[in-house]
Amino acid sequence: MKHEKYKELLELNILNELTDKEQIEMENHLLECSECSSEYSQLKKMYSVLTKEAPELPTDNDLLNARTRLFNSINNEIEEPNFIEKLKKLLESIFPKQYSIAFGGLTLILVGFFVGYLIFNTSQSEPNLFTENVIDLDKIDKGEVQISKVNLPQIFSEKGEYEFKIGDEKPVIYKGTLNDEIVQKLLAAAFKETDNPGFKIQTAKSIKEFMPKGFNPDAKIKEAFIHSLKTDENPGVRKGALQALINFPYDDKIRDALLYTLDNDENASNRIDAINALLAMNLGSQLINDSIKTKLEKDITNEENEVVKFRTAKLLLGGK
Amino acid sequence: MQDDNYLVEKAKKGDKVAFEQLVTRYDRLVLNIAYSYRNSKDDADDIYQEVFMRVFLGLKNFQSRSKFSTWLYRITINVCIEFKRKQKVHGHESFHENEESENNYSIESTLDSGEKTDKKILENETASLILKEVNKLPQQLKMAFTLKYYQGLKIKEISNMMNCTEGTIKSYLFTSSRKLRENLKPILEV
Repeated sequence: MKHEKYKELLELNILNELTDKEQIEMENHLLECSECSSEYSQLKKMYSVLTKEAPELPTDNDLLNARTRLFNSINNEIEEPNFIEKLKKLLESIFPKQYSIAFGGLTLILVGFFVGYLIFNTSQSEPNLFTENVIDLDKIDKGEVQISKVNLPQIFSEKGEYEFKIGDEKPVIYKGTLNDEIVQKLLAAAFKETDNPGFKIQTAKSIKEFMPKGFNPDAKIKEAFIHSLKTDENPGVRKGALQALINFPYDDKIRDALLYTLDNDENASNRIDAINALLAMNLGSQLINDSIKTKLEKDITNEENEVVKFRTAKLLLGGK
Repeated sequence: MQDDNYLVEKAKKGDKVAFEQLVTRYDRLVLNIAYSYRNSKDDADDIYQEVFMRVFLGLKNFQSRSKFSTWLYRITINVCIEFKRKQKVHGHESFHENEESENNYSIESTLDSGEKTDKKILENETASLILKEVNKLPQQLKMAFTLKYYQGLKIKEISNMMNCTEGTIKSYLFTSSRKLRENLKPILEV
């Protein structure tokens, strides 16, 4: 029993959890007990291996990206007070409390008239840009209409529903999942329009997360990701685009984009992802035509990273 | 520096700046815990978002019976554990990024083909084996292990975060190290 107690103390000492008194007690015991002394050495070795291989901590940039995404989501949560609430507050500030109920009633009547006016005068009002969820994608493409807000699906949500607010003056809300072609086109447009790397990364992640089985991506979204993979300055965005693309059904454009990354991306981790994806595609002769072969051979010569170099050689050998 | 209770009260009244101050005061540890628990930046980021959205939405009901930081860390622990469960249910682990795909190209094939083994690959392999064994631990054990070994927190702090006694945490840690020692014997003896 006493021996068991010392074994616990040994471990607690390694974890830096002993009081001074307990530590002295443990050290004295070690001097006279070879079994505990050997146990202590093994524990120390294990602790050293485990902590040495601890996952690297996220960088400051990761933290900043996470904050940006969070504060964007929170801004989306906080809605501006609507017209009625503003009017109510105004009335409360102007009139004494005993009249507020009467004015509340009056407000409701006025709102009723206003709603009635909207319902029965639709034929006379200006035509809406978008009717019954028909979105004028051409106008969005030309930049004549802006996507003013995008709510990406929360990672824990089951539905994976995207929500777009389109236009500023008479905004239209459009909701849907990735099965909806318009959602894909709107996402591609938003992805192209924004300079926000956090949004781009999260969009790519959400697509990877909520992509339905047998997903057939719209050409525009594929192009947007390929463009981003090749040209975005932010390595995280390029990685996000790559991670989304490698989950799309294979085609030559994706293969070429991955080869481009292997050849040009300064970030070794992205090059590793690209070569892993190419190997995982198991393309055999489809991939290795003569011009690609020559290019890969050059890559091997110029590549500094041993892992990429080795795996590129493996790809040339047919991926086996 | 303004104390947490003051910022919490202001944030409850809709003061965004106060909420942001609370976030930036504690979010580094939240992200670190999530990352060391999941060993994935993507997952850690998702956990981070979920934790702070829960805090944001739940703040109005927070009654300051415990410290704000304690409440926040308990949410973090719950989200980490729930996240793991959800991933299992939906089977979202992708072959493009998990350790399995790394294993496919690693030591064995490298040695077989007679290529020069890169030191980094070996280190990655060791880390990957350890990770695999740590991932096999039951969730409470894994969480206690992560907080102690990777975050260096005190047992008292961990017990507070995980809402259990110090004795329980010690028992989690002893069991974890015993299991890891058994399962990682070959690499610990190298």
